[in-house]
Amino acid sequence: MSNDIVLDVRNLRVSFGPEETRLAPVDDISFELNQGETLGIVGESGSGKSTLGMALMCLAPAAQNARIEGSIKLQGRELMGLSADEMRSIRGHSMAMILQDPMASLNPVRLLGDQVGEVITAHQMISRDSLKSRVLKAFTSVRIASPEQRINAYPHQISGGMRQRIVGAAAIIGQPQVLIADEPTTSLDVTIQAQYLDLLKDLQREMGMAMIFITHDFGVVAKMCDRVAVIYAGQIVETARVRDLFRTPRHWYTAALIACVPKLQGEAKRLAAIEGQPPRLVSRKPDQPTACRFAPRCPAADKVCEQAPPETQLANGAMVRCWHPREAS
Amino acid sequence: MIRARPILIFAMLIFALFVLASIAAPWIAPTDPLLGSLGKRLKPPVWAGGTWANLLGTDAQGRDVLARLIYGARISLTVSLVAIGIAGSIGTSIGVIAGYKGGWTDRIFMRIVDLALSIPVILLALLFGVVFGPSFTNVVAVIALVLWSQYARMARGETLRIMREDYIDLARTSGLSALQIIRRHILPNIAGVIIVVATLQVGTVIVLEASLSFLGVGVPPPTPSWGTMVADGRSYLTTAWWLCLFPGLAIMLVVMSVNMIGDELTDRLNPALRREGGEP
Amino acid sequence: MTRAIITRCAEALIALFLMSAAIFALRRVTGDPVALLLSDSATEADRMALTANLGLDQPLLTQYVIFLRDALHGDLGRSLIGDRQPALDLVLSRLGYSLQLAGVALVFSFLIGIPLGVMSAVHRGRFIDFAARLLALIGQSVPVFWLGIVLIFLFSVTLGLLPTSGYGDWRHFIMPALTLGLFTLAAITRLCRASMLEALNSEYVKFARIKGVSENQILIKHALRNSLMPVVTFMGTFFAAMITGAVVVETVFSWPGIGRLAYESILRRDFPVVQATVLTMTLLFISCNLAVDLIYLWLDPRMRQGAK
Repeated sequence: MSNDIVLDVRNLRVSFGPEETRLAPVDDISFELNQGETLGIVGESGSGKSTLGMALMCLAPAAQNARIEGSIKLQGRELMGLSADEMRSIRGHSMAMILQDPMASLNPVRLLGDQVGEVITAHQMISRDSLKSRVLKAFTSVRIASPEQRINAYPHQISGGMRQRIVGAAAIIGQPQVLIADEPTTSLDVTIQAQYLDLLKDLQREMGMAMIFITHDFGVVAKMCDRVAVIYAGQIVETARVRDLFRTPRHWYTAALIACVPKLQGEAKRLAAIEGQPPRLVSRKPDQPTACRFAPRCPAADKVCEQAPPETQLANGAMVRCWHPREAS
Repeated sequence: MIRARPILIFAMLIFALFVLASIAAPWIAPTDPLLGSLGKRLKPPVWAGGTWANLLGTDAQGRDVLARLIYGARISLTVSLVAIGIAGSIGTSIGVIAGYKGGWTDRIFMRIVDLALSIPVILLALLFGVVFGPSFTNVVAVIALVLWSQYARMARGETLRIMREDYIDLARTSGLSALQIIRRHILPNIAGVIIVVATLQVGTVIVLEASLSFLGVGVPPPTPSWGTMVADGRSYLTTAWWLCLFPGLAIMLVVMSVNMIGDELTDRLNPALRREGGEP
Repeated sequence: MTRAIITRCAEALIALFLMSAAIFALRRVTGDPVALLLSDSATEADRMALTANLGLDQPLLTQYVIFLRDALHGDLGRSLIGDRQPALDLVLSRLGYSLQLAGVALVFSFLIGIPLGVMSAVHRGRFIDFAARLLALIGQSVPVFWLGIVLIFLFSVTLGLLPTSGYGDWRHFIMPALTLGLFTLAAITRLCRASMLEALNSEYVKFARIKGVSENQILIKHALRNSLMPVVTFMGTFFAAMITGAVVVETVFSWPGIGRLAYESILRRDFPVVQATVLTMTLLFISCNLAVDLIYLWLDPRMRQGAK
């Protein structure tokens, strides 16, 4: 695996609301994504992971005074500060995204073919015939049987799994270098989930895309990802290679999350739940360093955790943001 | 969210004034609304050369416009309450029964609702008015006839939604009768929606009553109805503009305030549109 | 889908039938038309003759069947007033004027209401939004008959710009159409705004943004069509409002349409004409609703399969 960095994200912050009481669902997030790699972004609901996905596409939440700050470099090219039109030409082409609900992602009153082909026609003039052949090709590559008929169908006429594949077709038709998948399988049946994950993996291999996989499901992470970033209350608390993370989680939150995953083998242990509630949105006071956000729920917390925790770089490019990281075994 | 709060307060004030006027009419009206005096015919409002005795002027029979306005509020409010009460209870009952029973009952009831919606009721109202003569009962009956189907639709939809909830199954398996389930579980749950529909309809009813009275088939004279007042004032449009202006303004202001309050209630009850962007 | 259409048509027929029965029944309750027609000097023989002539000596049911049969042949009786014109002819001679007025009012309310609603949603919270919402609020609150009178007072009596009433050139249309259309305009603006906001917040619009579709294209291809569907659904209601409004507006502006005809003949107890106008209006109303249903089937592919 080559180590060319496709996407380099530095100090990304998404905030909204009036200046005095701004809320930041994504706060100071940095990571990089290598060519062909799959990075998992894991967190509870409300941790800001979906907002992060949209922010990577330079789309701010539809809230008052919403703002994205920081730096996103796609193959060395800075995306922040691009004009709306320049940014638009990146979306769907260099970077694509899949949302969780396939039924809601497709407009109920428009033909499937049109909704997929839109990615192309949004940016370039193209003849009907070559558009059609590209759409057909995209449909075929996401394993849609008899694509000729499907392009003239409406969303309600096809199954949920197929809808999700159509959404996939819209994501890959522009041949993106980065594909962001935001919980793409949560609304699917378990059997179809596995199929869909396989399909995404195949597509990634065929097209050489890098993927960012946003999920709360460690099973999916284990299946799909090379590296994981665990996100808590808008911040990355730990980054590591998947195997390392499962074997020796260094952050207490990660450990708790992994303990929550029911294991098939071994004794039937009671599901461990994490005590307390995650802070929903964190308001940031810029001059004042904030305490560790997990401290109120953390078994290892003490006085020092009232200071902002340090980001400790570890072996194999791993990172943990904690005063008292768990011991590496 | 940008929302003109002061305007809402203004609307509630207007509505409170309207309710107060209708309740306390005998005490706050400056004179008897029916008592005319030929010597005081068509006096203009006080700022247009009239006297303080008749703040908003007098009509062609020398009756005080302000007093008639205040008593008119009483008619508007009474018609609204009674008509909406009748339409609401009939419509809600039909809707709940249709939703609860399902099957043929549902189909037949809903066909009747469709039919009721496909008849131009203003014409029926006019016919009624002419055939049975204008009367309070008549107005209320006709307006209730216009309104009930909306409650039936709404109540049926809500009942169907609630029927899918687990606690209805629980109630059924624990042996509650249909009537008990409807009274204890369904009615309390649909009450909110029904009340919002009712609020939104107060405006419609006030305008409808005024329109019928304007056309001469509403509340019969000499009872002061806002619609009748506008109709009477029409003949004096060029000479006594205040006769048409004030009752019309009263209708508009009250209906506007009711509509605003209704919209606010709808928003509160259905926060779907406010939720976007995860605003706190 | 064919089944849905047939059901709708059957419903329309039943509604028409019920309306005719209602009118017929009401007619029996009212005063004796014979007494109304005869002069004071008429003899009992005259009276009998006229009763027989009008078919009023037959049993009720027979009268109704005869009435229905005649109605199907386009014979709705003759006016009891004046030179006793056939009622249907009278109605048809007025129908054109009403359709013209309603047409102008409907076009006016759509041409302004839809863009206003869309702009209001797109520029949510800005001045245009505020103005549109205020206009919608006023439009839904102002009583139609009073608005007409105020307009007459302002533009005819005070400013002398427009003709007070009656039918004529384009200037005669302005005030009646405005009065008749304002309620619908307000309703369309509100509906359009609400459904547009919903569409703009939907996942498919979000996904379209992700796909790199421009905001204008999103508006045209994704949001507009979806947001127009509720407007179409409510077309029937709008048309009902137009018919209701027509009676009032035509009375206020002395417009020679069927609304005023209905009003006047009801006051004169000219029942054959009342019957004819009410049936014509019901027919119009029902066929409009039918047309709306068909348009909706065309707009929403989910409905086309007849699957609910």
